[in-house]
Amino acid sequence: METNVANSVVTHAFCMVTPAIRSRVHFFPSAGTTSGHYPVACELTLFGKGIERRSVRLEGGRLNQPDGIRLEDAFPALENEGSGLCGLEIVFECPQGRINLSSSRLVVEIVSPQFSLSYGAAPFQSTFADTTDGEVAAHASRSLVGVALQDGSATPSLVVVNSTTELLRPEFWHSARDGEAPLQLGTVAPNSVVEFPLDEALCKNAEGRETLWGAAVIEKMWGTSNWGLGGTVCYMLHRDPVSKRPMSVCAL
Amino acid sequence: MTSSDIKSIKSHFWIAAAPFFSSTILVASGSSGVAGETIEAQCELFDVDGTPIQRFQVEFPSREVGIIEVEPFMAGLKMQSGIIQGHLAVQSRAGTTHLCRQQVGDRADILTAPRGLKSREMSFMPLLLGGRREHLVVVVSTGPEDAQVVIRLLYGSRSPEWTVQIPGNGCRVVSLEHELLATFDDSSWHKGVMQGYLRISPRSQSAVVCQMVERLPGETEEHQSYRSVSSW
Repeated sequence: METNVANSVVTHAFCMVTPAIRSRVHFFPSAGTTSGHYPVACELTLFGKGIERRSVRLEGGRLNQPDGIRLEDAFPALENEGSGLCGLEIVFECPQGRINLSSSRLVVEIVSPQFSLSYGAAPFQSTFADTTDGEVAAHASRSLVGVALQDGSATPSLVVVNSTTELLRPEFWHSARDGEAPLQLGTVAPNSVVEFPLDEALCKNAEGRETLWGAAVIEKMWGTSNWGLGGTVCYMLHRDPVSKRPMSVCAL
Repeated sequence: MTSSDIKSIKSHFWIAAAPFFSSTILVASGSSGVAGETIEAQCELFDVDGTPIQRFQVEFPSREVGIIEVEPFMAGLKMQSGIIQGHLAVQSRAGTTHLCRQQVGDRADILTAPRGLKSREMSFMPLLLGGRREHLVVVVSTGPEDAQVVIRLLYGSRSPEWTVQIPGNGCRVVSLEHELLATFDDSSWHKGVMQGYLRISPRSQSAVVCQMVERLPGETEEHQSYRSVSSW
């Protein structure tokens, strides 16, 4: 039985691609307090509806040295393919076996002439779990809590990034009059990203709250990552309710 | 977000006051709880120098998202860099999530609790230098000891570095362009817009949390906008 190895770590995120919207990805390979400039390779994989899954490997990265790339530079043919939300899988690898890269960070920047948004991707996880008989163990279950805010300047949605080859059905719960109730969400196809608007599913029948900034619906949803296998990440996305511009993104 | 023990979780936020800023903390648990169950959030507010200003407790039904509007507790906070500001520590039971809705001007950002950085750990923030953009770097000391933070800016082939002191439990706002870069003998960043990265690392016992407020220029002063971003 092998122990966890964290010199190879992975995270998943999403970006937006339209003729007017561009995405950049910023990396920060880090190993806690380790200060050496060890080489770190980055493998960037793109997938999504109507987009052929493909990867590029970026060499030349160094531990503790931030860097970034425009998505259209990494995948030049992207603008001729589908538009909308795309999934990203990012793997950092360091040849030094003792380097633990799990404190590395990834920031996705989505820019258009009208807006700019940056968000931090979900924390990196080791690409290896405890292995027994060569079989990768189930992805450790995590508790996921999301807060959805709906008011005059924000409307919420849940973005599910599925980089697996399985059809997934996200399982979340929310507070109901008599306890809790499952949130009615659809399925997420393999290698795709789906945005589930929460204005109807979560906020429609919720009581409004009076705040210092005005009336708002503020609801929570929760679940575990059991349904997600190892290659799934969820984000809470808030958009401007009128222009639909993305305003903020939080990893669950 | 840092856990102080296995039964509770503690987050540290930079908060700033009206008229230009407004901060609201959101607390949510991962269940609906049993009927009548409540969640308590213990809050401690410090001014920029780390002096305790207020200690208060907010209780709300566990089936709801707790909303902590900080504004009524902010009397007594000092002004630094033209902003009335402070450090709010929020503690609640394990399994809860803390977020901050931070309004800057007309824009509201929802920020997850910033990651605490211990001595020699590092975080980074991508930014665009030049083009009349301005960046306010915010550092909060999460413990009673004074904190020392090394801020390195990497752009082009340059990488100037500055050290900023933060009083224990206090916070500091530093203008990247007007206070830090003004002391560096290079003006190439003025010409056009270039990608840069801030790399932040504490050199002291106290952990710190960081964020940045960015001013984005518009065609006119009315069209300029602001946004808050966490450090990552």
